[in-house]
Amino acid sequence: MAWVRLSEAEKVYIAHGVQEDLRQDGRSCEDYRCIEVETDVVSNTSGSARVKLGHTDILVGIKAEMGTPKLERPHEGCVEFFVDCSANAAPEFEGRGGEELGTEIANTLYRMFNNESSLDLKALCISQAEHCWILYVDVLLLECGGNLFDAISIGVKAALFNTRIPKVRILEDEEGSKEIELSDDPYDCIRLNVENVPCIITLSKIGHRHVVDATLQEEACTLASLLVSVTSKGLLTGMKKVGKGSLDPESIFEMIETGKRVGKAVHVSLQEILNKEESLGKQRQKVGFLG
Amino acid sequence: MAGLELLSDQGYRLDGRKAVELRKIQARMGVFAQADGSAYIEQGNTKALAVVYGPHEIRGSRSKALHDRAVVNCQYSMATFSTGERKRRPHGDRKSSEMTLHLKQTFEAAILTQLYPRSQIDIYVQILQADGGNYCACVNAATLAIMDAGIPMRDYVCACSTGFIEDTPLVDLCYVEEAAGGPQLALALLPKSEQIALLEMNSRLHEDHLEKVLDAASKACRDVYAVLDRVVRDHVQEVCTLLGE
Amino acid sequence: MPGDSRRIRGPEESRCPLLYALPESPQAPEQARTEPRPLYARAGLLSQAKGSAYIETGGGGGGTKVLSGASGPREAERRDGPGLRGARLVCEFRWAPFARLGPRCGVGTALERELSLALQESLEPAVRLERYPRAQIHVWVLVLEDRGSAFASALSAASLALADAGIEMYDVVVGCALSRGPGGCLLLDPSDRDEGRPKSGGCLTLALMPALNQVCGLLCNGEWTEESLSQAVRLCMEGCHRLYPVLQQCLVRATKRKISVPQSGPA
Repeated sequence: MAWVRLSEAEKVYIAHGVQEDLRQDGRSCEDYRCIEVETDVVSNTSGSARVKLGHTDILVGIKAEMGTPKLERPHEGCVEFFVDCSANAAPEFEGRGGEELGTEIANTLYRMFNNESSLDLKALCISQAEHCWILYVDVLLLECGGNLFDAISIGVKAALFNTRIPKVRILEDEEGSKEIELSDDPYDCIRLNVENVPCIITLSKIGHRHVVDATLQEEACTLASLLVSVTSKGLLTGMKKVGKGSLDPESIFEMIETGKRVGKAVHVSLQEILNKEESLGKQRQKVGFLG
Repeated sequence: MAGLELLSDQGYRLDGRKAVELRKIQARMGVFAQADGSAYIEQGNTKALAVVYGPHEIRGSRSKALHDRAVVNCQYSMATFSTGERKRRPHGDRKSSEMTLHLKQTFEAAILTQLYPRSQIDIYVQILQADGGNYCACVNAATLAIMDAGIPMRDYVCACSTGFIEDTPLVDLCYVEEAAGGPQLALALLPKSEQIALLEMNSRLHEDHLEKVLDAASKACRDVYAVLDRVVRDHVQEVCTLLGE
Repeated sequence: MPGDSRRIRGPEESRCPLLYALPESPQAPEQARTEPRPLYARAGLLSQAKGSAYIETGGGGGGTKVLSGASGPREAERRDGPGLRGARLVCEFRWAPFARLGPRCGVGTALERELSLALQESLEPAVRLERYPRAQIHVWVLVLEDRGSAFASALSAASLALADAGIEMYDVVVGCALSRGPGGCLLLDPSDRDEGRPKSGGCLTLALMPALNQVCGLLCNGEWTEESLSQAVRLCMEGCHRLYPVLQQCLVRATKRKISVPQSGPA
């Protein structure tokens, strides 16, 4: 991870501030930085989104391709995650330097989505055991300003909301050979239901309290963090502890409660933004990186 | 594709441009706060992002340090979702390595590396959407990013790609025109001194036509220079206003 | 080969036989279990590795067998990591190719890398890394047979191996797993039948340092509500406390064995 060198005095200063519920930029322990979300920024994809969380900048692109379903799940499509920590974010990520972090984030995403209700994979199936849609979710990390997991999960949810998969028909010949026909109409498409897509909330333990949405400096003072993945209904789909330190069991229960509360709030505001963008439709001015 | 002409009889191309027209260029400097210099450029549908770190101490082995100049280190990578078909690896394949080398060559010619001995300048370019003219968009974006980082250069480096069809040079090719397979020339030019930093040509072109194509490419590069200059001046004005001077 | 009449050709198109396998007969749902299965642990069994441990749980009908080894501290490869004041702990978690049901299931996949990283993050709080600056400690875990809760056994085995290797630690790390049945009942130390159920509510693995009562590792997936998750964490902690004396006894026995053997060969 791109890191920041802090002296002991600076770490103590941050820890004392957190104790008083006052962080370096004036936020309280449960406040997020300003999040900017914009969908449909890349036109080559089936769906895309850009998330800017403080100094963290993420671009998510989803491409839907046809393939064969997995052997043990013949009536479902599948989702493949790939995270690219580009050298833009930190010079250490040049060449193969960013692969380790990228696989860690991708594995976490797999774990959080590895349950029945997050994504309706049955909607991605075209014909059982033969054809299905495979969604390639590609995350591009452009700038690293702390709290990567949260930003990436918000980006993935926004991009999934924006995804348009063309409808497909299977025509059967007399000999029995099947042909797949893609509908020509660009508006005739399947949209995915993202109600139950989870968002990851990172709770970092600094001193005796935990904070949400840590910046790079705060991450340097953190002993241990807990990643909690929450859906909009308050269900927890995954949990993981990261970091070199250990956690008290009482802190874990507190963190779970905070994570659930904060997660629900994040989902509500994200859904508002996505609905607003959707309602503007064609008139929306696409800003992208130019704004 | 049957019936799709790259240049119609009236002189219009596939996207309605004339043979000497460039695509719309929109650019912005200072996109990221944490990097030393950054820039974003959109040339038609091609979107490129460039980030510059440096000059700083050489990372890794000290043996690569040059005693009288700075080392220019580049990396070119394309996002996996940038092309029509999904790319498996963002960088590391042959095409990316070749582009990286070209970028390095281009900017070693333009940056005043003698001012920073024993240090390193990193230029990282990312293509977010590829629609032809990838190398040229990268060079233009990297020029703006280096300016944003405050690293002194001899001159702007402006690049443009040119093709040749039916005795007419076509300027600033899009993806469909590139894929058609005709001759393509990529030119990176230092506009004021009219010096060429990089010249690359694919396919076959008769010697007699070379002069015509090169002239068209130089003219296009000078047009790009006019646009980039405007962008830089606007940005500097904005920054000065914000600083209150 | 064309025109080879003696060779019997197979079908041109072939499919995996599992597609045509009969669906499994529904099994009787397990009652909630609040005690971990009996565990056998032995440390110091490999002569080549500096420290080693073997753990077997389950028992009758095949159980989970995990082998772990530790070596170090050795000189670290030169890598300029800022803020790295102690040793580097390098962990590797692997399944043997014959460990799970199904062809080479889970071997070499992203899951192994994820669990290796989770193993490292769970063991780091327990090992006194600052006592070995600029050094590297290797831990590897090999799952010989996986019949449920392999990662939990791997955590216990790895910490036993580290202790056996003589590396200073704050406490032994005990791992315990739990899975949630379809009816919502919580099953401690699930067997592979319980874990692999398609409609299972989720799995949770917890790593605990019982003497200090600190959680050093937590990994969970599936769908949980807040109350069921808190209850699951508490159950897992109780399970860890139950397993702790077994691991302590194992280390005591291993030490006695080392003392009683006269000093011959590498100690």
